[in-house]
Amino acid sequence: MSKVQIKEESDIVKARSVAKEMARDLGFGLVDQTRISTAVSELARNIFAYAGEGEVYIETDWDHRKGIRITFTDQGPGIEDIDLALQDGFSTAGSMGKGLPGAKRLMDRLNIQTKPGEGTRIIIEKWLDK
Amino acid sequence: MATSEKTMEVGKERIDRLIDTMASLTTGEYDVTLDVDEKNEDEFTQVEFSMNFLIEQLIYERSENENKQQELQEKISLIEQQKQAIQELSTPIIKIWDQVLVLPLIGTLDTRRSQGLTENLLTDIATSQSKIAILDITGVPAVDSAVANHLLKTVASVKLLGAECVITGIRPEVAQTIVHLGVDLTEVETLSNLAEGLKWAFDRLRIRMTQ
Repeated sequence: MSKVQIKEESDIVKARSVAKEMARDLGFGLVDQTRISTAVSELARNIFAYAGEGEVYIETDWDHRKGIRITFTDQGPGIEDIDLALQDGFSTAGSMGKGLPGAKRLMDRLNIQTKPGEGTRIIIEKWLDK
Repeated sequence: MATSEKTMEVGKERIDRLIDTMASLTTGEYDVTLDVDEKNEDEFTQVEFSMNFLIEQLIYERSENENKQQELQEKISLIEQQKQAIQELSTPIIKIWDQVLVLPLIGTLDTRRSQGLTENLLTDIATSQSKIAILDITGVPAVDSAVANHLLKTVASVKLLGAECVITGIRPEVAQTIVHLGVDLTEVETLSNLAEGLKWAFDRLRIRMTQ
């Protein structure tokens, strides 16, 4: 279990390194480690860009599954339209709009819980026992 | 168990002094010692001695603590300094050949670093009249969409200056991740490594190498 607070841009790098290290220790190969750390980078950046601050929680053991699960929580503006946010090229921040859809493609599971005005929680998972 | 029948008389003044001393200790005031009358030693003298010994111990522990705290503070400030130093590590722009510049990118590219890098590169291209810029990302462990976006923007601005840009050294795992992310780098010239990049540059400039 590891927790990283996202407050400044350098925290994105911190969250990404912690996730990569934990993925490596668990037995993920280099390609998966890179996928995981890139997905963490995208979603942690979203926290920084949209909510300003939030938290990244990384765990490697849940529900008897072998893999890594990362939870991104913030009290930001929330996502108005999840389907739209998951479309390639859609962005309200003037970025590439690859963060959410990209993270979804890089991981085995992506779950979004959000309420406009209250915040967002995104859970991503990558499994070793597929 | 039989309790000791032995009792002894202790002057109220001595007890008050002991209580006063303990009171100052609890407020963090360690600059106190009990006057011990060694000539008329009794069993209470032992208590007074022990109290003085305890005070010495406390003073010692406190100074140890202060030293450690200072050490820790120094370490924290050192880490801060190093963090700053790493962040400020600017990427060198190397003129490797006439009209050819190489940027070996190493480590994490955040927004600030990427912006500084693009600015420096554009200035260098303009002043050195370079035609080719080789961005080598062998030392970049992960390319997320923000970094990719910066690379694309850099390449586009270089083009506007009439120069060409090639990205070299994309690691296999980075390549797979970029594709999964859905970032399109097909518009950008990419080559496997720096040597290939240099060959490409020579080719563009019609420089022939003979062995």
